[in-house]
Amino acid sequence: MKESSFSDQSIIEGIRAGGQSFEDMSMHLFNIHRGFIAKVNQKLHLSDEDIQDAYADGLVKLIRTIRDRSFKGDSKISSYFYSIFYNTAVDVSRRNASNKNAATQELTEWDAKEKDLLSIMDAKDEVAKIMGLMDLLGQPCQRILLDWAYYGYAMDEIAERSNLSGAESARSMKYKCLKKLKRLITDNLGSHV
Amino acid sequence: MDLMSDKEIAYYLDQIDDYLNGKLSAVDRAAFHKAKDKYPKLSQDIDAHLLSRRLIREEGEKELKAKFKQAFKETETSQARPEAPRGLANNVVWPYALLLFIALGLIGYYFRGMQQSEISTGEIKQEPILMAELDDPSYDLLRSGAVLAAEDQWQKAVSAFSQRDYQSALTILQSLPSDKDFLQKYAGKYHLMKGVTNLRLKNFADAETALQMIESTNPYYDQAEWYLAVTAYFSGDSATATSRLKVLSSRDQYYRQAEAGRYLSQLQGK
Repeated sequence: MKESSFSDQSIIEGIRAGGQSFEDMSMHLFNIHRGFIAKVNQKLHLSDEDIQDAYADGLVKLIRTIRDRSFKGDSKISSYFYSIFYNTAVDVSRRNASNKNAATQELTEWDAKEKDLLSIMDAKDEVAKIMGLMDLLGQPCQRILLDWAYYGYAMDEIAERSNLSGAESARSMKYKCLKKLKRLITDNLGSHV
Repeated sequence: MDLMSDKEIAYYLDQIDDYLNGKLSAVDRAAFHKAKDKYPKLSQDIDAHLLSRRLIREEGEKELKAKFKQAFKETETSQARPEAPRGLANNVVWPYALLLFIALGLIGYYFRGMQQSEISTGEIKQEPILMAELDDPSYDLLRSGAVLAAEDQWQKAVSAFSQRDYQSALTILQSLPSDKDFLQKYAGKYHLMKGVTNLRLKNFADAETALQMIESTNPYYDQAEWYLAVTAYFSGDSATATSRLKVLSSRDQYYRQAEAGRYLSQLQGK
């Protein structure tokens, strides 16, 4: 299928379906909107690195809003993305203008669904204390948890990607890895969790 | 105190996962709160689970961003260093590849020249302009320091507008006309926001009506002229858009003179 033949609806469904279709549609979004880079930079004149960083951040945000359903499809994806990208690039431009030597915006916010669940959570303000804990998990556990919770692969696919014997083995590993991460969080937050 | 079994805890955590993974439209909050009150350990499990999910999601987003940045690098590398031909077959293909390369170079040179000439003359290539490229009026200008009955609603409308929630902004604006004091004092900004909101929602006729309400003596009139021109543009009324854009693009010192020229070029280049 040619890339240009994907409708907005099929892109949204592909992103929400998870797994390989999530990855394919993410790269499709990356490819089809690259023309915006020149358009935005006609106005903002950022360095190649900064505009690419803003573009990548904008795409990650777009994908987040498609997944957490805060993007409802009322406007075209391209129009919606242009707004996100432009605003992200403006933030970068303003930061450059004020000579703040800060890294490009970190993607550290609750997404819409997580926000929705904050009412059933007590330790919502403790996030800053647990940043970086994923790094302590080790690569195999990280991969399994990312494939499960972020990319949305099915258990048999996770097994294949991580060279495990099958879906049951992947499920068991996911359980152990998640338990390990929760223990790291609990150890860091002490009585808060 | 009752103890909750692992199976029962798993039931609640699975609900959270199903919701975050899009398999469940909502969680039963009341049931969660009731269970948390009864089993304090559940609160800790829910917190640790939600924090874990957030950490994983953030890590995933970082990885995805890194993939995009890698894709930029790969494009740059492939553009900078075309693969060298190898072997007998490639020797046969080489002259054709060279010809193709020269042809592409000439095409690239031609388009580069065009682009440079466009930039030097201040014109933009003839791509359709997206409504998303259109800037809204400054939210600061729209804010009001007035202490009137409608003030609270107005601020809510500005807030919704600044978040690009145009439907909510319009709903609030439509409830304002009963406040005559406010409208008398702030007719310009009211009709401007109403016009732009309708434009964003593609209610072009309503946008036109609202913007036409701004009188030529009003300080917001120059903005009204601009949004009237782009309303005609996005509604597909090329003749009206061209006529309005011509006026604006030829007016020295007009705050949207260059933008008007750009829209006009696009229309005339169709």
